[in-house]
Amino acid sequence: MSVARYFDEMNYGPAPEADTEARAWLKRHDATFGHFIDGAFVTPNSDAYIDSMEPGTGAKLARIASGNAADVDAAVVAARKAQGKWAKIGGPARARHLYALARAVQR
Amino acid sequence: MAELKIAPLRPEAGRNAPARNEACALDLGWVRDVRVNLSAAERRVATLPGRRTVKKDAQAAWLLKAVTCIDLTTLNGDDTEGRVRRLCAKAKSPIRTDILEALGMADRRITTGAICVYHRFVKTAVDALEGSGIPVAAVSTGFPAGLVPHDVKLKEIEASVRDGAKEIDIVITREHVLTGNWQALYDEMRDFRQACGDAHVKAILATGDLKTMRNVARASLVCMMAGADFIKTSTGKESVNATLLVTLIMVRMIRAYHERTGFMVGYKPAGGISAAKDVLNYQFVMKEELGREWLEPDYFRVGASSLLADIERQLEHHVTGRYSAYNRHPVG
Repeated sequence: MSVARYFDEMNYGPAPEADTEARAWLKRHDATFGHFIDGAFVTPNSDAYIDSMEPGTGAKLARIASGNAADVDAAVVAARKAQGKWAKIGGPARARHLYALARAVQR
Repeated sequence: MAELKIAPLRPEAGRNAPARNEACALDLGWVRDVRVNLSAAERRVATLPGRRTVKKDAQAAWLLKAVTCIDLTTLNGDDTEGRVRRLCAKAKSPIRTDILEALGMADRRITTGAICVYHRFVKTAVDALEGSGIPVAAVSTGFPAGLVPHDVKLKEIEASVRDGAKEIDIVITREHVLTGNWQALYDEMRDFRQACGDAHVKAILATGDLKTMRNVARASLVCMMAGADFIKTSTGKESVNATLLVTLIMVRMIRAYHERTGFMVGYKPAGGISAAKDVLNYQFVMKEELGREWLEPDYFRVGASSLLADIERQLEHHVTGRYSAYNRHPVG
C-alpha cells in the first residue's frame, strides 16, 4: 500500500520484525541440528531428521535430529557420568550455571 | 449567568459539516458517578505501545497525518513578530518538498493543523497565514494560570476573535475542580463558549494541577457539558503535561459524552511530546479508543513545536535511509 493510501485510510499495515539475524544464525548452522550429548552436538545414530516448517509460509526452516533408542542410551550414560560432579559443586555453583544458561537464552 | 446563545451551524455550500457540540445542562449526578479504574488504566497505557506499531510506508503516512494535526505553538515571553512570521511560514510548508515528493504526497496540501500564539500576535499570524486556510488559535483567559478577573477573561477572548482567531484555547480555574465546585466550572465554561461565538473553544484542564484522574475525568465531562469543542490536557507550563494516562482518561470521557449526546468533542495533548514515536502512541490511543474520525485535525490536535523537526528527520530517514542532524530541520 502506498503512503497516500495509508494516509487516507490510517490502517496499521503489516509490521513484521526483521528476521535477518535469525536467518543468519540458521545459515551458520546449515539449518541442521543434532542432539547435544556429552558436551557436543552429535549426528543421530539412525541419521534420520525431522523437518521443521516455517509457520508463516510453510517453507522448510531446518532439520532436527530424530533420535532412536541408541541415542537415548548414549544420553543417559553421559548424564549419569555428569551427575556426580554436578551434585558435588553445590547449590550456589549450580545456580551460577543456570543463570548463565538463562542469560544465553535471553540473548 | 448569561443566556447561552450558540450560533447556528452554517455548513459550507454542498457539504455536511458535523454538528458542533451544542452543550447540555449540568448533570451533577453524572459527574458524581464518574469513576476511574486507575490500575486498569495504567495497565492499558503500559501495554498499548507494545501491542500496536506502524512501520515503513504506514509509519510515514501516520507521521504525515500527525503533522496535519500539529498546532504549531510559540508561547514564550520573548516572542516577537519575526518569530511568529517564521513559524507561520513553517506551518504553511512543514515538510521539505523533496521529502514529500519522494513519499508521493507532494500534490496534497500538507500543512499543520493551526498556529497557536498569545493574543498579541494573533493579527500578525492571521496576516502571515492569509490564503493558506490554516486557522490561528489564541491562548486566552489569563493563560497560563487563568487567575485574572472573569470579565477580563471574556474581553480577552472577544479581542482575539475580533483580531481573527478562529480557535481559542481557554484555561479553566483549577480551584473549581479542586474544591468540587462543578457549577462554577460549568458557568465559566459556558461564558467562554458564548464569548467565542463562531470561534471554536478548547478547554485546557491543566491536568498536571488536578492531581487525581477522577478530577481529570470529572473536569473533562463538565467542560464538555458546557460546550467545549475540544478538551486539552495542559498549558505546557505545568510540571507534568500530557501523558498517555491522562489521554486515556480524557478520551474515554469523550466517548462517554458522545455515546450519551451524539456530539463529537476533540482532544488535544500539549507539552512533552517531542519525539515522533511518542506522537504515534497518542494516535494509537485515539484510534483504539475513539475511532478513525478522531485521527483527523477536526478532532485531534497536538500542541507542539520541536516535534515537527523530529517527524521531518524520521521521514527523511524513511526516504533516504539516513538520519540527519537536528540542525538541518529548523522550526521556522
